[in-house]
Amino acid sequence: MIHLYKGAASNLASVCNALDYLNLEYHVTDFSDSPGCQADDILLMPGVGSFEAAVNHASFPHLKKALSQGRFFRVVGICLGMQLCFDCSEEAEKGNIDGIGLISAPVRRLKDDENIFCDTSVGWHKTSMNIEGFPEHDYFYYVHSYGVRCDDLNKSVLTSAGLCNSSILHYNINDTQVCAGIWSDSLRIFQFHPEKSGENGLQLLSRALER
Amino acid sequence: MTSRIIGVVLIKDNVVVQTTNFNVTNIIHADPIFATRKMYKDEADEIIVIDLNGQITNSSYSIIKKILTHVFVPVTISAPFRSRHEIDLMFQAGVERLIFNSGFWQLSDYFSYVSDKYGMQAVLPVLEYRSAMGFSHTIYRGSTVIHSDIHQCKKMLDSLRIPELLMIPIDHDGTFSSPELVYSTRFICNRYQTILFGGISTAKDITSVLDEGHTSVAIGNAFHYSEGICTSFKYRSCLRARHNVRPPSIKE
Repeated sequence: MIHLYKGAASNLASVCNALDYLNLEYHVTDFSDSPGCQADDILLMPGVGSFEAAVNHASFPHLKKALSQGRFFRVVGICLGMQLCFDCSEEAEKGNIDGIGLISAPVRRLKDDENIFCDTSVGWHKTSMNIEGFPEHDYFYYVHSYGVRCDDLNKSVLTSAGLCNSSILHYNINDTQVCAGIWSDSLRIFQFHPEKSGENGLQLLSRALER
Repeated sequence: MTSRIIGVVLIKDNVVVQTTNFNVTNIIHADPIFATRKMYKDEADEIIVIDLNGQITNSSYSIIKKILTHVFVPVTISAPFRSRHEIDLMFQAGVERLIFNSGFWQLSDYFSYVSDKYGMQAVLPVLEYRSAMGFSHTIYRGSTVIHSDIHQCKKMLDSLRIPELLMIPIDHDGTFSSPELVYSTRFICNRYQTILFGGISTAKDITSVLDEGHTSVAIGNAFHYSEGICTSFKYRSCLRARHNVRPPSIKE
């Protein structure tokens, strides 16, 4: 079963439409009623909106609790759903705010003081990936103002998160590599929106949710 | 960032229509969902749905919801919103962003509501202009002139910090007469991206819009009538030699 997390403002309808189209069974939950999970269940975290609003949402502690009980075969995250997997984010009124902390790296504002990044990255970007059965480069649809830099994902960070055999997806903004996703057996997260990235995006989403 | 080829569907009384100079002149298709799905299959990078009815009805909202279950690229909606609730319903249904017509960028409470709640990327302002009158542009369907000074208009747009601007030359709308590349190019800048819509009938027109520096091109009638000529695998492959456009995902 796919548990589709319903948190703060999110792209829930878009993801539901994609899952329906892919004929995948799922149920929408905020984890407040502690649903019975099986060993092969998948958690799918969609997300559009601010990190701070998502963390402050009433359902977030329930989500953290469900994750801490280690009940999921795999976690799949989209956009904000990916960012929530990290330690902390700069997207808060007062400094950093903590996320779920599956990976010890920060989510940073794309536009920094040196102005090497853009304000908001909107549109289709050529994305590099190393996933069996998929091309090395493909185009996906992004909308984000905050993200994870590939520089922040060194070997020790990945090893401590149990992701040493994972594949890091990335794309470039100017000359800086931005993490476009992480692909492993237990964690498949995307900064882009596979549900809005045409047939190729749907194929990738379907594969991410395959057991 | 890639340049995008955007499909535009105009809906009035639950059918897909063609407009010429903003007047409805023809019914193109009885089924808006089929027409939109076809655009998606023809590799549109994004789809803009323009609801020409005077108000959002249950049936027009139902059509938009159905469209969103059949296309898996970003969908932008232009509709006559009358409440925040109607706006929220659109985003809850899965709409990516909303269009705000000329003159409503700063005047409308809804503009700031959407940009505050959903982010600036969730609004797409439109500049509807009539180049035959020098440079004036008009509110919705070309009825009222609200600006005649290009510099004043541009200054206002600059202050909004918008990521993108949709430009519609009214005199070119639905005419297949070629895109308007004199006035529209004055708005090309590094503050925001520009999309040009209107007058496009051939693959060559798309290339010329992108050659002039517009980021993206929006196509209505040509998408319906040209059987994929604008976005076919062959054409996209050729266009990629000159511009950074997404390669076709459906391999031939």
